[in-house]
This record gives sequence, structure tokens and C-alpha cells, in this order.
Amino acid sequence: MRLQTYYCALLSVLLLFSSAQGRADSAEQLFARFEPALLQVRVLEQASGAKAAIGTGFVLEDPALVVTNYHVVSEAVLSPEKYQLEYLNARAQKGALQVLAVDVINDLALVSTDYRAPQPFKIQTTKPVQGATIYSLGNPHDLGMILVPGTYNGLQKYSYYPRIHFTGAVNSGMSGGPAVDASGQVVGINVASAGNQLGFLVPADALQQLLARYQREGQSKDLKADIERQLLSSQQAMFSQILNADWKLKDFGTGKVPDEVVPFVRCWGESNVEKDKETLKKVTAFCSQSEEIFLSQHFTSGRVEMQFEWLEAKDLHPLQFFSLYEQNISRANADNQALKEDVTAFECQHRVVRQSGGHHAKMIYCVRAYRDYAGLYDVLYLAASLDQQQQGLVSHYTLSGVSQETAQAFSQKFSGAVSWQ
Amino acid sequence: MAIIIEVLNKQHKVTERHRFSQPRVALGRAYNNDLILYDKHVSPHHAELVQAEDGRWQLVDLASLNGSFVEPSVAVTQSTELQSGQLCWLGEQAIRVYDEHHPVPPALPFNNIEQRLRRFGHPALIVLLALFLIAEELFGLWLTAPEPGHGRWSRNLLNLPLLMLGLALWPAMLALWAKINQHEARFLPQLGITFSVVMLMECWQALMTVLNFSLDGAAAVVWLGDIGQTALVILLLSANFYLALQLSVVKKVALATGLGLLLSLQGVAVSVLFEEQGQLTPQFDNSLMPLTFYLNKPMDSAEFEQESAELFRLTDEARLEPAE
Repeated sequence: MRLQTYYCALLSVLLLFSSAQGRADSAEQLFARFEPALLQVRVLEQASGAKAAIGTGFVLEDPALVVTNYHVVSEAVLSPEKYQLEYLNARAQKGALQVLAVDVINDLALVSTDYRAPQPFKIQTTKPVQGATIYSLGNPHDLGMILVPGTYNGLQKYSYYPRIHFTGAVNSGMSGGPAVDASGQVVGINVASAGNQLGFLVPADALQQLLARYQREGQSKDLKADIERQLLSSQQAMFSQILNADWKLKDFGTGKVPDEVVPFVRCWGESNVEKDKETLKKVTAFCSQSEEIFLSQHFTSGRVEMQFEWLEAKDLHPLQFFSLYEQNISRANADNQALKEDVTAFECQHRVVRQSGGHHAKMIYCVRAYRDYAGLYDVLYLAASLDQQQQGLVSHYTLSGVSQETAQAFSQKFSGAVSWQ
Repeated sequence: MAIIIEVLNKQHKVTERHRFSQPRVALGRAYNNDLILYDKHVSPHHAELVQAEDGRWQLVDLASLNGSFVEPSVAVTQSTELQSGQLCWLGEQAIRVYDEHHPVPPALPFNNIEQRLRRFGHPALIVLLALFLIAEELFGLWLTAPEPGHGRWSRNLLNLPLLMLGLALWPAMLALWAKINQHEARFLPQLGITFSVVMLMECWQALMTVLNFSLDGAAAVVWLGDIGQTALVILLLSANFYLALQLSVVKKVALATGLGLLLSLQGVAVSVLFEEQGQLTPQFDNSLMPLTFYLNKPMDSAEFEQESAELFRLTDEARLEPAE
């Protein structure tokens, strides 16, 4: 009996060892097994034939196509006459790629290829547990395919656009590569990095949804029209969440302003109130979103940003105060990046407005339209209270990639929330 | 019959005027001549003016080295008869010869405008204007840099004399120009005029600032401001030129208008050239003043919201036009 127990213990120890041995091997095995299914995705400029951008893609088992990031192939999607796509596999073979469908909100693209990998990737159906070791695969800085082990840390808490928080180095060039669990099933797609061992992955669910749509609708006939539709429905969904939320207000100067109205809008603040020598006391609160939608190299969208400033100068003459106050609102700009090929110039209106409560404010409202995506606008709002002689409240927001209805609904909710006294 | 000889400089301005009663006048560089000339190309005994029996005067060249000429540059071989008012050259020295009955233009009455413009040269007025300009500058400083301990105060205070000197530069240039052309310099009137118009410009600017806030940055205010400034520049130049230049009134005003328009057009050209850079940043009127300065009726917030629909419509039209 005792001997039996002893053997049992010995056996379990041996088993433990062998399983540990198995796991240590698996990282190497994983890489060896999947390297043929990893591709470098290259964007070539047709005129020069030179690489304009590189990223990583991976071959799926079912359906047999390649997955990568939208931001890797964006140039070929937006200017197909200028750019074309090419893959390079582990055996240095090249071939053409063609974009089938994109999801700009989750930064994903499905690409067709004639290349068939011996062991393509499968998508994991269950979510890994927090702390599980996962492996990110990709080709950083064109240095060759590598495997980066790291930790799965669940979904990023304060992002509207779902992102897996991956503790491991994701470097540029690895974008579009898969992150797999120990069994080699895809958990997410490399998408971004915030520096030191802080990486972000698009969850596999988003890929599943894109695949489902692709299988339902087939290859996209007009990718730009798809992008337009996605942007419109995404802003609608995001803003219905913001507009339906019960906005918590906080005291600000003598007034009240909205605080973190939804979890994905984060606020910070600063002030110089305790510094006695400043004649102009200033309290600032700033709220924004950490994530945005990539549309092209110089064009981003899908963000809300709000800013509040309380100014007070008890020792100044009203004329002096207003001179400083005026300087304070002299500069305001859009929160997102865009070139003049992407958006129109801002059209602005600026008036002294009497609000329903009888308060007066100088209001500035500016709009610019997206050239390629009809019905989408960037909006900028700025209001400065005018009722006091030595105090002022500046409230400001910018919305990027919203419809006119969304902008107007937000404007009403915002004006209702900010109170001046 | 006496003869009058005007000695002219290179610009044909009179430098000396002599009247001789004798029938023979000797001209040259030597000291025993009746009229002693200094020009180095004039011979010691260069020429003589001789009255004939019929009373007419003749220029006689005394075999001078560089010769004598009469209008229009005809060389005097031996002697040439002169008309009253005719221009002659001894070498390069120009002289004009008149007989004493040569008609002179009637006396000019005092110029009313000129008299008035000269009153701007009153030292008390200039001091007053200078004080106003300094006060205006200090007010601007007080407005934008509230703390007197601020570094900008000492810097701007030190710059004040330099600023006043800069303003005096233009009248000084005009005075110098008049002096070169052998007119009265009239520096103080020019200084007074310049200070007065600069003061008017500052007042206009202040008025426009209030108007701009009152009318919510309406484009008309910008135009009105620009037109006013241009008009004041033309006024300044006209007054300056009136005193400094010896041209007809029409020419002076035309010159001032042309120069004034050129200066303001340059401003417009610069803003047009650099406007493109700011195209992506929103352009709005950020003027803020205490509500008492607002002369317009404030808009209702609901109306403001309604009007914003127009912005969407405008940009919708713009998106279909190609980006430059």
C-alpha cells in the first residue's frame, strides 16, 4: 500500500516534469508550426515599386484567407491606383494580395491570396483567463518573424473600441500579426503599443464578426462605402451610449460641468489656485478618449473631447480680465488629425448668445465635413460666459466623425449639463 | 537799361541774383570780373555781356577753354544776342539773364490749407499728442500685462522712447527731402501732423475693437476698419506731401492716394498669401469684452442652434469641390 502511494507520487512528479517540459517546448513548436502561415504584408508604391508600409498577416484555415490590420493596407484601400499589396512568406516567396473586406472600427482587413499554408490558424472560441500566457507573432521593423511571449490581461477597461491589454512588446511591423494561446489558437490581432511592454490586441470576437459578415455578403464592392457605413453606425452606437448616460456633474468654479460621463471618457484636471502670486486663477478639467479610429496615415476620427476652464482675477479691472480672457480662447483646434484632402475647411459661427437661464455667453460653433464620407463631420464648440466682470467659464468640446443629428443631440445634452452659476 | 543775372545751381535753382546798370558786364573766375563765378570749368575771363546801341544784350565768349552756350545748347562762336529770360551756360555754370522790364507773376495769396497745416507745428500741441500716444501705449500694456512687475513692463517702457523716435523718423525724412530741394524743412508741422493722424488711427482701432465685439466679428467691421485705416494713411500722406512737395495739389493728392492704396494693398496681399496656411485651423472671432460693450441684441440660444444647420449645409457643398 505504502509502496503504491510512493509510486503514485513518483508518477505524478514525473508527469508534472514532463508536462512542464511539454509547455517549454510548445513556444518553439508553435513558432515552427505556424511560421509558414505568417506573411509579411507589403504596400508597394506602383510608380517606384518601393515599400511604402509593411505589416504582418496570417493565413486562416476557414475561410482560407489572410487577416491583417486595416491600417496596414489602408493606402491600398484608399488609393488603389497608387498602391498595391504583396505578401512575402517564410520561404521568401512573393505573391499578390487583394483586400476583400475591412472593419475600420476594429482596424481589421480580410485579404485574399493564392498562398496556402500547411497549417493555417484557427480562431479561439473561448476567452483566455486573466494572466494566461499568450504569444504575439509578427515581423517587427522588417527584422524577420518573431514570437513574443506575454500575458493576457483582459479587455482594456476604459476604451469604447474593445482592445485586449497584452503585457508584451508589440512593435511596428508586427501590426496585423496574430496573438495565440498555448494551443496555437488566435486570441487577438496585434494592433498598437503604448510603449514598454504595453501592447494592444483586437479581440478575436471582432474578427469573427467581420468573417461572418464576409461570408454573408461576400467580397466588398465598394470599400469606401463600407467604411462610410461603419463610421456612421459606430458613431451612432457610441453616442447613443453617451447621450443616454446619466451625466454626473461636478462643481467647477461657481458652476457645474459634466464629469466622466461614460467609462470610456476619462477626465483629468489641474489648477494654479494655491499659487498665491498668480493674478489669474485658472482651474482646468480635460476629458477625452484614449482610442480613436484610424482612417489613413494622417486622418483619425471617432473621438470625443471636452474641456472646461474656470478663470478668476479678483484684483484686476474688468477690462484687464477680459483682455486675458480673450487670449484664453484665441486658439482652438480639432482634436483629430486630418489633411485638407480629407476634410473641408471649418465653417464657423460666433455670436453672443442669451441662454434660457438668462445667462450670456460668447458661443463659437465650427463644422467641417469629411470629403470621402458623406454625412460625417468634425464639430468644435467653444463658449465663454460673459455675465461676470472678473470671472469666466470656458466650456469646450470637439467631436470627430459624427452625423449632424448626433452633433445636435450632443449639443443639447451638453448645454443642458453645463451651468454657469 | 539794367540787366539782372541769376546764378543757377545744377538743379537750375537760383543761388544768387545780381543787378548791373553798366553796359558791359565781365563774367569769369578771376577776381577782377564784375560777376565772379566759382565753377572750376569756368575760365578766369570767360565771357562778357555787352549792351548794343539798340539796347539789346549780347553774350560775347572771350575764347574760353570750355566755351559758352545759349538755350537750347547752341555754342556761342563769338557773340550771340540774348532774349530776356534766356538760359546760358559758361562751361557748366548756368546763368539766366533778364532785362529789368521782364514781367513777373502776380503775388500769391497766403495758402489757407498750408497756413492751417503749419499750425500743427505748435510745440504745445506736439507735446500733448506725444503724451497721448505714450498714455495710449501704457494703456495697452496695462490691459495685456496686469502685473507692473512683469518683465514686459520694463521691456516696453524702455522701448517707449524708441517708439516715439520711430514716429519722428517719417517727418524727419520729409523735412530732409524739402531741405534738399531748397524748400522750408517744416519739421515741426510734419511731426504734429504725423502724431495727430497716428492718434486718429489708434482711436479708430479702439472704436473698431468695440464694434467688432458688438457685431460678433461681422465681416463688414473688418472692411470698415481696413477702409478707415487706408483713408487715414491717405490723409496723412496728403498733408505731409502738401507741405513737403512743390507739386500741384492734384498731383500731391494723387501721389498720396496711390502710395496709401499701395501700402494697404500690400497688407491685403500678405494676408491672402498666408491665409492658406491657416486654412485647417478654424477661423473665428474670439473677441471678449464686458457685456456693457455689447450694443447688439444677444441671440437666443435656440436660434443659435438652428443657425448651426447652415454650417453643415455649407460644408456639404464645400466637400464636393476639389481640395486645392
